[in-house]
Amino acid sequence: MQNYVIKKEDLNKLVERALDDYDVYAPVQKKSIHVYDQISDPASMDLNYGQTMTSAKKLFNPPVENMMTFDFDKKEIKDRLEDTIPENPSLIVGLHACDINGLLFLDRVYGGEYDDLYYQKRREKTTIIGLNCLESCESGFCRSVNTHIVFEGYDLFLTPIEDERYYVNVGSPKGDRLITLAPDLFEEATEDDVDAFRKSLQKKHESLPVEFHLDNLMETLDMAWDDPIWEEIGEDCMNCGSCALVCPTCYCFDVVDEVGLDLKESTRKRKWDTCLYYDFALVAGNHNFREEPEARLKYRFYHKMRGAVHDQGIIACTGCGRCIDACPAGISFLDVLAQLQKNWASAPTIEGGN
Amino acid sequence: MQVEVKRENEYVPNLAVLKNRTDMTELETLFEFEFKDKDLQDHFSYKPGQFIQLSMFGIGEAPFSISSTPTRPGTIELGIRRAGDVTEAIHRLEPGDVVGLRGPYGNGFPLEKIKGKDILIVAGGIGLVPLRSAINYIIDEREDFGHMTLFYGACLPEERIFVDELENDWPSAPEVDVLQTVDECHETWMGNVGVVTTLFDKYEVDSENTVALICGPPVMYRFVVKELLDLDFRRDEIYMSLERRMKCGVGKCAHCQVGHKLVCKDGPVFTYFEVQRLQEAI
Repeated sequence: MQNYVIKKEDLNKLVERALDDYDVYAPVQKKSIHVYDQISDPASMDLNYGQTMTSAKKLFNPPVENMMTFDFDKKEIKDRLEDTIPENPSLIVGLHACDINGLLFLDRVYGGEYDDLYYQKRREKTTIIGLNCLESCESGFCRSVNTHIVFEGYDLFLTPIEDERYYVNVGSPKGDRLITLAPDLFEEATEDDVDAFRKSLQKKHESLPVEFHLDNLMETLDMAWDDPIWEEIGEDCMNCGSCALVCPTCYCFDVVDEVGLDLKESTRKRKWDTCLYYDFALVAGNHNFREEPEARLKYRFYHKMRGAVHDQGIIACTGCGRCIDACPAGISFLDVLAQLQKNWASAPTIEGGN
Repeated sequence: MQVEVKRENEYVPNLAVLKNRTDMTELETLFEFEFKDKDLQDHFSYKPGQFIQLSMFGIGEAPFSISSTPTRPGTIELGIRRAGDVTEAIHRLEPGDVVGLRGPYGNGFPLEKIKGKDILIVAGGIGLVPLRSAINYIIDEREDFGHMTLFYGACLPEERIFVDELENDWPSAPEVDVLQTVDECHETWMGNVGVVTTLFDKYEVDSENTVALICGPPVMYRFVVKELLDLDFRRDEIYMSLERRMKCGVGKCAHCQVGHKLVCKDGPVFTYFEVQRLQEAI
């Protein structure tokens, strides 16, 4: 595959041109935080960001979505799939490797035996320009969960190299097309550029810490079901669900019917939900399989780090660190996992990172 | 053979009409639905133990085990207890009313795999709802299976469901034994009294070539499984159907996740061997 380089200032020109055909989303600074937002001016995007507060999953699986409408008089169901998908194709600029890995996880959940067309159609209509992180962000621990690298799931992937340029990996035909639309902005990578790319990767690997060993986490969790840590953090956890809302891989949803005020039709909607809420595992007759707050928090850890491996073949954590920033009780997903590995060490643990 | 009915958008149900309703107890009614679409009426099939998602538009959607058997095609019967918003609305349905149905989902009982075996069925309360499908399937395909024994337990005599079949149809079918018990009774009840496990003292079960299918309230499983293990049933030949609050039915919403299994896709029927390895399963 041919690789390219582009000047940082020319990326803005590319986005400028893309605005004619695409809805463009990029990290934008709002007060002290960054969020993915739709932009109409390339100058408003800020690629020099650590982490956005919420993940990009909202662009593929919105917090609330209309699935279908039922007409009470005609007794007809109208599928809302087509009008829930944006008309224009989307372009997301500056998605970090952790978030692209999050999408690769969602691709598995919403694919497989049954297709989830609401997600899949949005995904198909979206072009992603990824951005390599050469430095660790404040709460992230991507290298501990191997999501600091990504080989698919993007269309173009940018790595900052010397002289204010990006090294460009092409990940898909959609990415290829983007380059052919603006051939004047891209140059084919020379041997020197490849060398500069390698140096940037070296810098990245030197700066990203390893905080725990993923390879023995499965064994650890199998032993740690009765560890006292669950009771400790269970007492602190407010079951507010903030961690799940900001998580790029938390995909649970609830389905509700809402009747219109004219009583002529009802709309079936799906909404983000989380296993931390009391009624998540409640069944008819008021039997709750996870009655206690502690049981629900523990389940979230086990589903993400253990159960997902059986379901989807990979853990449901990208090490983005958003849950750590979002938790009002100060519970750190990373610290809990690191502590469990210490308590149940079957392999060398890492003291004080690195 | 199961013919797969492919819908373009998996979440959008097909319309079905209520043909008949038969009240079984104060809380449970048997509803018989027919798809509006003629093609679907002819081709829709399923396995005993599978479930269907029923939409009451404006109220919501919920999963229900199918009570009818694919050997008697044309309509779909669902035995439903009044227990929440959706089921309250279903109980207000009159023949001719329209609902949405999609499915069938889940794995169902492994009837292909257990051909030639004797079968012990243990049902508690409305646990008979999915098992009725298997019982009538086995009776209709009688030569494929060995002897069938049903242990059925209910709290009170008047809380029993499918009473006509329990009293008449099933006991008179070839190679079928039916034993019933109730936890409490009035003077009119002449049968056994006690929880369902007391039937194990009254009937000799030979586990040699026998598999067990069980379904009932969560508390029943532990005690029935203990009896079965004492009789040397193999852990992977005890099949149990689990209940969870499914929203999507197709492995996306994660509401029915237990440990590393999804009840909607990997179940709802699991072997005891699998259940043992799942935290919080029963």
